[in-house]
Amino acid sequence: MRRASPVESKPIPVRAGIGLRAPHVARVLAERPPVAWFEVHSENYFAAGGAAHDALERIRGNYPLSFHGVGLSLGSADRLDRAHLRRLRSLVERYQPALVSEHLSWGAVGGEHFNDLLPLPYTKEAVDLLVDRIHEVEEALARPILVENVSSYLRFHAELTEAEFVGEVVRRAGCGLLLDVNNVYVNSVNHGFDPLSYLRELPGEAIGEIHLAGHTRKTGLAEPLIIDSHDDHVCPEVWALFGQAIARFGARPTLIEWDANIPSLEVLIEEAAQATDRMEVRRAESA
Amino acid sequence: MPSLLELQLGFAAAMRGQGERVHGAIDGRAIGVSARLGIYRHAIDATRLRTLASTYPTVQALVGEAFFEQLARRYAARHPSLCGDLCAYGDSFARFIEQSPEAIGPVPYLAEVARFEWLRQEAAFAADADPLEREHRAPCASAEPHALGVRFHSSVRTFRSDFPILSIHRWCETSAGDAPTLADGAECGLIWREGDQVAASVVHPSSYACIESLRAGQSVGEAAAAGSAVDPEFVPAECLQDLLDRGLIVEFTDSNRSA
Repeated sequence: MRRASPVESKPIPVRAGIGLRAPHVARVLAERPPVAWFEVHSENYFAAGGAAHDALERIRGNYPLSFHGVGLSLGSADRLDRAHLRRLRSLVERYQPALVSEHLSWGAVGGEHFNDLLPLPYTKEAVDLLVDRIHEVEEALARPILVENVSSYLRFHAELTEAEFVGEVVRRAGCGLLLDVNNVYVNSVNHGFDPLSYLRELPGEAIGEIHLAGHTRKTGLAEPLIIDSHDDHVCPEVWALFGQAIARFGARPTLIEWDANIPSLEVLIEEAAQATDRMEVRRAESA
Repeated sequence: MPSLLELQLGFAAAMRGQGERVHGAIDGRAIGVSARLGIYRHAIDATRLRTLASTYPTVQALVGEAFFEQLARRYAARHPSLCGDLCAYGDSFARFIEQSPEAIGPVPYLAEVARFEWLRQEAAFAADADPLEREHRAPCASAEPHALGVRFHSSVRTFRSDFPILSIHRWCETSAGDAPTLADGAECGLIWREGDQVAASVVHPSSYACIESLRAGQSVGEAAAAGSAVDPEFVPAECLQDLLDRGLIVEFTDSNRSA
């Protein structure tokens, strides 16, 4: 049984990494492919032991690591699940990842979990709750976290725009922002807003990571609708918006997320290289 | 405007198909509110189905994808997920199947297969532990059997069924050879994690009785008696040696102290 000493992970470089998924773990271990960094879903390592931990112990020795949570349900009116938080804390203490992130969403109420990233109303009540919850998580983990803007297929009647809501939560909580550029684009189509205006509302200095992903455009509906399916290449419109984001905020550690119809590792490495190239061009232009 | 709690309770009810009280809080636009909520309902259903199918591949293989999907939907309606970690979802699937005549009618051993597959999942995710090294085995040879206990690797699970459960599981995994028949009879055995794989083996009922006794915290002497009660020819030393060779014992203990 291997057990890593609690040394801090290598810092995440300002390059593009890849979301580590099960089909690629064996090759990553065997071949140590040229990937700038890996992000994993925290909950995939909540088990006490087993093969996944054994692999991650070895991977963390070779690559910078980020933990991305999908199950904490930060925005639930229920109190935070203390058992879930304890397991996350134990995981973070064990692996000391360079970044820890969660979503600006909810997934449980009345004790029932939907295991999905459900949309929040953009209200002052929800802002207050999220600020408290983010502080509670940061205190439990004894470290800052990043929170991610989520994609959505409906909007509640609201007091704030989505960008105002995200900006307000991040400013008041003093946490980092994981800017998912694909989610901004998806929501701009699904809810009919200007994605560049959205970017202008955000506290750029808080952005610690960017996500990019593919999506599915539904056809034959009364109005445009995109499903955030993470099952394809990043589309030209999202690449363009990524360019606008790094032009405005500067280059940031960027992740290619691909969770369904997972392609070969080479495809993911090529997709990440495209993102890194765009950041290099941006850096050269601003030098 | 509803409170956050009211809104989330209303949304949750809509996900269960139990009411429209959240509709008034949603900006519908051209695509209607029901269709928008349906995207979430579909995603939640798909996640639960995918999770159950991943944990219970043999159950799915035995009943087919369409019937498995029906079972999964009914299970989700009665047993909501109670955890943000999906690995915990499906823990009562075997009991649910047991109470589903439409499932166990055609496949009477289906619940037992599900129970077996959940044990495999537990073994896969159990805590790590180092097996007992050869040099630490010596003291047990001279110990008084009634004062000696063992601690198993935390992945070790046992199964016992009136049906050839492990044979059915293996045949569904590989489809190699002839399909097992119910005439093949009862099977009992062990499940454990070996490297990055979950392993399983049928054991003789006498070994099973011995191992169950040890797992219950009884001494080696008591476990030997339990095995011999099933089969007078049972050789406890061989059973213990087999467990040690498989790396399933991580410690010898003083059974008087643990008792």
